[in-house]
Amino acid sequence: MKRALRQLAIVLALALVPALVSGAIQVQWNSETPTSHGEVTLAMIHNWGDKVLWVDARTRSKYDHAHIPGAILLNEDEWDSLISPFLDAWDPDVPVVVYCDGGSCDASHAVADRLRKEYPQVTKLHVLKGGWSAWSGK
Amino acid sequence: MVGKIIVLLLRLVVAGVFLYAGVMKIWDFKHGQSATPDFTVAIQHFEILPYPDLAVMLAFYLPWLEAISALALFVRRLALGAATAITGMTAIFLIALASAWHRGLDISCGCFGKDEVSTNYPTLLLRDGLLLAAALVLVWRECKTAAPARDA
Amino acid sequence: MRFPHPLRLLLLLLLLAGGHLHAQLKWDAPTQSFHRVPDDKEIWAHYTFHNTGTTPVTIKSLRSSCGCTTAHLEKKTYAPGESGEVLLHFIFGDRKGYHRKTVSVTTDDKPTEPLVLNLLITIHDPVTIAPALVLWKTGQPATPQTVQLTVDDPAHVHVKSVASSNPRLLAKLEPTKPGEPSVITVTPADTTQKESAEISVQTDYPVDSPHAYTIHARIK
Repeated sequence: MKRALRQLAIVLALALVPALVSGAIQVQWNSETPTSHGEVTLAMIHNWGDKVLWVDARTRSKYDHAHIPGAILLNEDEWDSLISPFLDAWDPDVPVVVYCDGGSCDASHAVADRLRKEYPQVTKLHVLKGGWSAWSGK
Repeated sequence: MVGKIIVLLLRLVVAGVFLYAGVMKIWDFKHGQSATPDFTVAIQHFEILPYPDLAVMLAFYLPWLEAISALALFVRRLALGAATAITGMTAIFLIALASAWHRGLDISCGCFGKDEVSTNYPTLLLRDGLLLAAALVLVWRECKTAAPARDA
Repeated sequence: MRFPHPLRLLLLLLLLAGGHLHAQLKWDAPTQSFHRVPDDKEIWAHYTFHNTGTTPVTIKSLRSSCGCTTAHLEKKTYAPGESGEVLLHFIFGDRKGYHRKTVSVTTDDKPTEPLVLNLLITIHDPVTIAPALVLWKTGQPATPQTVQLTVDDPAHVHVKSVASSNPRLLAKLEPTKPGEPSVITVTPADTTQKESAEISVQTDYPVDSPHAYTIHARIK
């Protein structure tokens, strides 16, 4: 029994090392790599003093489970009913940053594109590079 | 003799599955990018963890634990610990699967990186159950092996 | 150990190579386009395929580009000569305009080259309201702003009424000639404080369940 626990502890610790290293590298990546059109990184948002209106482009169930504090839900499934609360929260002087899952999700771009097209008055519009993963890895 | 061969086969199969599973969750070879964001999402689909940060931490740690445990199965001084870790992981995943099934969630596995056809729970549970059985055999086998002379 | 007869070995190699060359699924129409209206709410698209090879093919995964599109498959393995179909179910939600949804199909004979099924859909709303938002800044002059409601087929679509949710932001339907786009004017009482209003534009189309469109008005 003691032998099992001792060996288990060693295995658990051995796995922790590459996990921490890979975690640190990825979090660094997400906040610093140059971005494509309209994308911003968390590091850039910090430079703005963190004052942004977060827009969550994911599904309602993901949003309800967890979201960036203060984020407003706006997705294409329920656009018609969600656009009003968004417009209420929107301040023309505060940048809007849209996020979705991160990785290979394109919902944030879809929401940003639709906002750009239908609500051209919303000028300070950006997409978070790395999405929710970048935020929670913070 | 037959027993030894069977155990060796089980060791190879379990190690193979866990090494593959671990690596697939670390790197998305198809797109040449980290697989961690996808795995984080897959964990979140289970809707089981109390805090979202836990999903991210697990997404970073679990794949390495799987891969390292798989390799450690062949290191005499770590094999018992590795088999124990694998048994633990398999058992926990079985419980998570059963819980997700009970709640009717569509989790699309997320076992081997990102692959989905609509969740087929009976198959997943059976596959995981067999892995658990194999892992338990390995634990039992390691316990029976005489401890190295240096151990107190 | 005796060496296998060279001819038999050659035959085996040929069979293996031939078998590998001939494992494949042929798809009838991997890209499909549709035109729909928002009222349709969803679409089921059938992507049929046939195993034209000499060995069974197993579909290993179907990976869809978003959660709004789900892929359904009756079974995973298809014998030579067998046919099957992938059913794509796309739920519109409140989407409008052109959308491209994809599903990557990975088979065991080509594990690194997934085939991409494309669902191209244009969800066309016969009525457009522009701009969708009328905005004033506090302290700005309270000048009226106009919104146009353009319709594909003016003969069948008419504006029946216009109503604002906030009496401090009034909306009025302006008289227009038949066939011309409808015009709605929104006028704030003043711009001394922040206000918000949702203006509901009720039409008579479609006849069985007439739609109302929303103009958002804000003083920020």
